[in-house]
Amino acid sequence: MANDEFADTQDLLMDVDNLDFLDEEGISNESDDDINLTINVDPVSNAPMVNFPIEQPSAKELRFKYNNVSSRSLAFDNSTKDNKLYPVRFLHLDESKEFAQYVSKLFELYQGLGEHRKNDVPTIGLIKQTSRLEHFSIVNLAFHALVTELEFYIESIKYTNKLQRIGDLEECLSILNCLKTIYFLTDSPEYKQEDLLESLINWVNRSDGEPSELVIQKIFDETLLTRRKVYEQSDFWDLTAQLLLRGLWSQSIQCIQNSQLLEHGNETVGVFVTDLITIIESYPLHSENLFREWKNSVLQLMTNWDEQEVEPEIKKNLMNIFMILSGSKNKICEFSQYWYESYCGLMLYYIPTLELSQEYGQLATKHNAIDVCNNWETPCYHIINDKVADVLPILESLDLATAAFVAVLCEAKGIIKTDFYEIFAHKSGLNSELAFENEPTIGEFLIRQVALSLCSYDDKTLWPVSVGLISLSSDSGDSSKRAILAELLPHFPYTTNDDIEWLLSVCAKWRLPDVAKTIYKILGQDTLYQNNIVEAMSNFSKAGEYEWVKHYSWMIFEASILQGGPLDDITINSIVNGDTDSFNIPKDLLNSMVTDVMRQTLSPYAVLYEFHKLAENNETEKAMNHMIQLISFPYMPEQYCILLLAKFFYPMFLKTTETALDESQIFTILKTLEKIKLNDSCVALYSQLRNDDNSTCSNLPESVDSFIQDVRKTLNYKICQSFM
Amino acid sequence: MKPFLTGHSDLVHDISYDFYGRRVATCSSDQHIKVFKLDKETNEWELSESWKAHDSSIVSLDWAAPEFGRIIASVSYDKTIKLWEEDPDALELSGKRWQKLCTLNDATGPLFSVKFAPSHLGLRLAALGNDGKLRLYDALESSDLRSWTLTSEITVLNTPPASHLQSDFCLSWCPSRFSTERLVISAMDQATIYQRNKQGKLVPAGHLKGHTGLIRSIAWAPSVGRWYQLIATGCKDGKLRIFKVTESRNNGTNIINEENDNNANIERDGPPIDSSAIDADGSVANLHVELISEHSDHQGEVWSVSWNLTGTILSSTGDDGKIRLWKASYSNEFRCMSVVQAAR
Repeated sequence: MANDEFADTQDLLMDVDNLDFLDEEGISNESDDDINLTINVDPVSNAPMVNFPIEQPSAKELRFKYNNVSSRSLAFDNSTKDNKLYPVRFLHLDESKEFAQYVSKLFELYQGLGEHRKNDVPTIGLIKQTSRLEHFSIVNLAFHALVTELEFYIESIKYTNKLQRIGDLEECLSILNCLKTIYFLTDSPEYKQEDLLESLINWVNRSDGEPSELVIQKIFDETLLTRRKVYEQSDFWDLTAQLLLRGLWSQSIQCIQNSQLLEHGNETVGVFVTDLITIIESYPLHSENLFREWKNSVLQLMTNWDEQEVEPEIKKNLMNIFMILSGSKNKICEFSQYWYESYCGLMLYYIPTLELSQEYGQLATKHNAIDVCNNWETPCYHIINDKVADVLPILESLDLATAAFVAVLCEAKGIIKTDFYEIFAHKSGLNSELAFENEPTIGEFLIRQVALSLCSYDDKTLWPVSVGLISLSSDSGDSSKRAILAELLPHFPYTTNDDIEWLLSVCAKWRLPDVAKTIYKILGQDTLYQNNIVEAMSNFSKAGEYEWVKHYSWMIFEASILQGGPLDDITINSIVNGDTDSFNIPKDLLNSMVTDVMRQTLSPYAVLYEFHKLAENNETEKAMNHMIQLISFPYMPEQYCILLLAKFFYPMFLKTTETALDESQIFTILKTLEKIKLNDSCVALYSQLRNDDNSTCSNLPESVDSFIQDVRKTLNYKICQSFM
Repeated sequence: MKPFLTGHSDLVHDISYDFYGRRVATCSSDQHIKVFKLDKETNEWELSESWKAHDSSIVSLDWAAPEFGRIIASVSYDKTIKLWEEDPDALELSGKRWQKLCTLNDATGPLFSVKFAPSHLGLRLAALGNDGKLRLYDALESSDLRSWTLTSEITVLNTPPASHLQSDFCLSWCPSRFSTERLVISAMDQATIYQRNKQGKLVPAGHLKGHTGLIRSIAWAPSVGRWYQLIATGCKDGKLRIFKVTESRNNGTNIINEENDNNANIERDGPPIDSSAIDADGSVANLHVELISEHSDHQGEVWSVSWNLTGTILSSTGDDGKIRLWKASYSNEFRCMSVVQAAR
């Protein structure tokens, strides 16, 4: 029955059974890969400690190397022969899609803030009176959106088994809810009193999820076992007080209604309990002005109750409840189990104002100490005490991205008061003024940390966020940003042409020609490994690596000679032929790929290609002219002169009597032969040509020297023939 | 991702990832190199190739930058440096996928460390070994990777260590593309930064002082977005040290006087700072090396140090069987942010 009665409390109470917090040591969770991730605390550094997933290396000479993609880093043991490589699971590395979405959303918020990212007070020009209000309003809205995004993010991973991560994010959310309550509400133009109190209640209740369903159930089930009335148990009164202190009014009313108090034998009790319910129901959440009247009503009711003759136990218990509602500091603190319950109680029932917030905080912590094992409690206390800067390191340890954007918004609001002298105290002789000129603010520092950390994720969708954060940062000039981008961009894990386009567009925008060249070189090598020589050459020429373009053009040329015909590559052939239609290659595509350098370096192959076509059509005269042009080309490497002579000129035009050479052609060839200095490449290629089983060159003279002699002899013969 | 067997039949001495972290090469005392590639579907490392690369233990290897193709350099106790190139036309696991480009055998003692220079310096590599010599090689023609030229040979240790004693040598290049060519080497218990002067010679430019045991590992941090450099060392004396290196152009006289004083400690601190580092205008690109952090959390020997891609997180491993991750706070204080523990 109790269960049914309190079913609607589910809406406000956190399901603590499904949550774990860091204060519990040695919780065994399961991650995506069903790997046990046991979190302990390292006794030396007090840092969180996890084991290797699945299998542990021996610990004798453990070595570890960071991979550029952090999650792919491996460890190994240099002392044992188990010869395994062990992947490492990092605590603070969230590679989920949900995280990527969350960070992208936060970036959108950050970008959308525009000039409001800074807490600049306009001092010149047209200064509007409302400008500060507008600024605060926009920053507040951004903070609210940040909290909402965090809630969505937690919700999206709620049903995964990343319990540790969810726990950390819940703690982040508690801190953010506290920050929102204290700093990001009251100066909004549309602020209402209820916003503050609702935010406060939300913060306290979401943070620890108490009282749990089980506790409530236990209290009501107990009566069935003991046959005592519900209100006869002290636990019931504690529960009612707790619900009231936490602003859970509807739950407390249901609790009272089901406590059998209304059916009490003494009618007076029933009357007063009814009045109590009415008083609770009429708590002036929406109106500051009505609070005094409401409190008067409570005091009146309390005085009346004090005058009633009822059994002492119930009198005392109900009096305690009245005193809590009347704002009695002692009773509020006495009935609070936690300091934040006292704080909330004081805010709700003493005077609901932030002006007394610090006083409430001190009073609350005096009676109930802060649980330092809960990561969110100390930061919340710092927030109440106006020490927002102290919160950031803890937030950073829970989630860097959240911490960074919170820091920026806090700076934009002007609520970070950092004791820089304390921070830099360890640096002797530091000129603090200089330090402030050069050092970024905490927000900018954290934003940069986020930007850099996103580049070591295996997720290319995070790169635009990273580049965006670096571009928008105001702590450094354009040259510094260019330097950062220049170091990072070559690491972009591109997979598609669109990725490359984006990468090159960033290089163009930031005027990074050297980086673009590096990228083209990488692309060139990549395409080369995919056997796409034309694209590789195109990339190399765009990278300014003309030697490589030349090298591969000559390789194409060599392959065509050895093959004895045009290559089977339609792209190369359409480039040299200029005929895209018959090869079915879009002209625009080809034009975008082929550079001037390529056209120039491929020109020897273009002539050779034409030669093949002419020879195929039996246009011997023209073919011979093309061959002579090639052989006498001043930049033709010696080895290719030999190849052209041996493969084509000698068998096709010298060994046959059908073709006649005129004097000038013969002299051209002889002059070229004069210039040739034989080298290892000449010998190697000539021998390769001779040994090729499919070649008609197997009957060529054995050595290059004797081949040249043979050519000379034949040319002499041809001179005589021509003379005669 | 699961642990996987490398298949080496002896100790694994070094691993190296390619630029995009999609391949990992391992080397071992079994004289073999193995290359594994990541299967993105299963997220597991798969053996791509394995081959006998040297005639003795292979102790260090490194990938060249991707601009130059898929190239691996390896060094061994057989005193040679070997360069390997992947042949995409050869089948995987055929033993022929990685072709030897060349063997460099100038060293007179076992080699300990090899590292390619950052790509903006061209295709260059440095190797260091037991003969106490740092050697730099360049592929002068990018289209001919079989031809490497010894461009620098520097004595970093006057007396090579006795063969029966433990020794260790490491090197790490300054990865910043906006910095002068610099590298840091550790030889036994000394660590020295070398930089190229105006005459094009590599000269000592600073010492990393304070080590009282063999330096096991040294790593120069990527300095993305930082105006200063960071170098981490892991030492047998149980300390992880982080040094901050800043450059200032001071009047040369002061530096020389300071270094003359330093020369008294040559034996202890390494080679003297070379006066040729001074520029013609009398100023000097003076490196100020400052120990900013020292930690003995490993409670024993520190075996390896390694930075992440952006130089924001440092990892260290040690005798306690733990990987410790270190991160600098806003005030540049390094704190252990998390720990990964191996079985004890």
